[in-house]
Amino acid sequence: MIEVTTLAPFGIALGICVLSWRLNAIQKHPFWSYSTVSSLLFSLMLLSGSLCFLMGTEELTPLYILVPVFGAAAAHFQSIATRKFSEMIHSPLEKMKTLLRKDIVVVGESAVLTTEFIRRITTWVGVENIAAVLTKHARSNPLFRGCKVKDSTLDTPTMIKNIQNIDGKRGTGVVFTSFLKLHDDLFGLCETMMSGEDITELFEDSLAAVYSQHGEGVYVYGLPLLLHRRVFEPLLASCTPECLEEVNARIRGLEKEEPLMRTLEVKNGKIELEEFYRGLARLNPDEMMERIIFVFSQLGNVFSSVKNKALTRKSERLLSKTVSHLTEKHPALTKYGVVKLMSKGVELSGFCRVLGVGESYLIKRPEKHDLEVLEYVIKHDLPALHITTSRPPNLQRENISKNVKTLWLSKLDVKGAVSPSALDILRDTVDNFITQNRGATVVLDGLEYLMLENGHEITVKFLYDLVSMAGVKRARLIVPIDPKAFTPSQLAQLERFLIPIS
Amino acid sequence: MMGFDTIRVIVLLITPLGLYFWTKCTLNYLQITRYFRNPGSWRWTLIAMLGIFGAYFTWLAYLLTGENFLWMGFVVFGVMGTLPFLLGNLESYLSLRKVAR
Repeated sequence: MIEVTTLAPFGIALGICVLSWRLNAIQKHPFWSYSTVSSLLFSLMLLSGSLCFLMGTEELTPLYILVPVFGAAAAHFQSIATRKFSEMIHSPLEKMKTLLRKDIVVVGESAVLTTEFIRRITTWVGVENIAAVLTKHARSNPLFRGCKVKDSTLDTPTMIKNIQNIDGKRGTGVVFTSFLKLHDDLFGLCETMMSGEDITELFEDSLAAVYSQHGEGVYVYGLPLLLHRRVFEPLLASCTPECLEEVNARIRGLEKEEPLMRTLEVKNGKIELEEFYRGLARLNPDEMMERIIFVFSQLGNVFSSVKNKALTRKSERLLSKTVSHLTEKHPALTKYGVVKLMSKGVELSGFCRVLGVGESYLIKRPEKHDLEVLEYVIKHDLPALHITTSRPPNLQRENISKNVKTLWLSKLDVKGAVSPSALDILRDTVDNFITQNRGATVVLDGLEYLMLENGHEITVKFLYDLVSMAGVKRARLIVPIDPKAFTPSQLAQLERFLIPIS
Repeated sequence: MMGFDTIRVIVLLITPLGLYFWTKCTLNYLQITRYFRNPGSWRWTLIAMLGIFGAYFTWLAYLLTGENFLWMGFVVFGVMGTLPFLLGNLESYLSLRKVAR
């Protein structure tokens, strides 16, 4: 009877089959569908194998033949599954990226971006010219070595093979700089047919298109290049030699605060992004975006604080235009506080003023509590938590965007309602939401009601907790109020830890 | 009704085909492990592949020799060939569910 334990592997294999099926439901990728079939066949092989042990070998039945048949079929399907998996790596999906090696992900993202850019410029510069550029890089660059040039698209599988031969620590840097050189040549090729502004526009369109399929990772490579072309190249073009010296001196002064600044020093009238990308590649992927924005905001401040007033004005104008443009065309960047690119002391217009991450704002606007910023996050499907006193019909925003969660401050025991006196529940809800959603927006609309229910002191303590959470977890807190509902001293107290916006 | 030796011969004839597919599959897995940031669970997959080979050959030895004690090898190799896959899938399922949320 003890031979019954031979059924144990069959039971485990059945578990694999169920999990593969569930994983296929989440990820909807052929790897999991083929794995489900394969694990089912594999469990049948183990079942028939176990039954053979239970029946003995005195009289063999055709059941014995099923073991190798199911086994071979299971291996065949698993082999297809692994091949599909390799294909998925060539253009990694958002959900996969956290599992894959950083350099492999960067190859996939940069290749997808470049292919999209090539697709957009092909009609202008011609297939032959693009093929010539790609062939040149395939001969000279270790990342592109041996890549076949076909229909102006990049040979990602070969690139992924090539990256295996490059030292793992240098891999990401090599990918960034290789693509930078390729883009330089492609931009150069386009310059014969169109203006620099148009080329940047096409590159930016490619970035926005690729983002929608492959997520925010594409900005790690794309944003520095975009900012360089949109803001810093025109600024450098209008710099005198004395001005360049001043810029370099200021950059060197910031090195201690941000080591990456050193890589942006101006040499021969140009900023070489190669060094910057090599430095960027050494960072943890989670901190790359915020560091890019921080470094370029510092660079913007350098240009805005030089003695040459004309350059200062030009810098502020270009940065203001670029930031407004980026918030409109690339809303995902607001999660990383792209508005911080704006020079110190220069105010943005409209709702852009409340888009900084890690900041908390007090909006003194009694007549219109329906905030533009909330409309903006809903429109662009950004994560937001709206805590409001509005009655249920107004909560239908919840259905407009899956990323916007609405909580109704009410004592009624209904779905989506939280009692205004349950500050602990509110605090935990906000904490969970901003932990799970990077760069989330929390709108607390109903501070007056919370004060009525809990008293001024307790509500201010609660608000202070939210401000700290938003600061630490890089979210933004927006508190719209009616100033007439507060005494001057209460208002002054709120303004001490919230940035007042009138 | 098939004869005693016919079944053994058929099994032995199909075995190389199975071996070919399992080897191809193992090589694919070896390739995949190189793509991962943390290839831990994928390396366990290779142990699982060895387990599958082990379980199949123990079963084949049982078929050819008729030695009953070989069921123990089948269980040990069978568990070795399935458990890493189960744990790997469970890990992926839990992390993907977290990401999906």
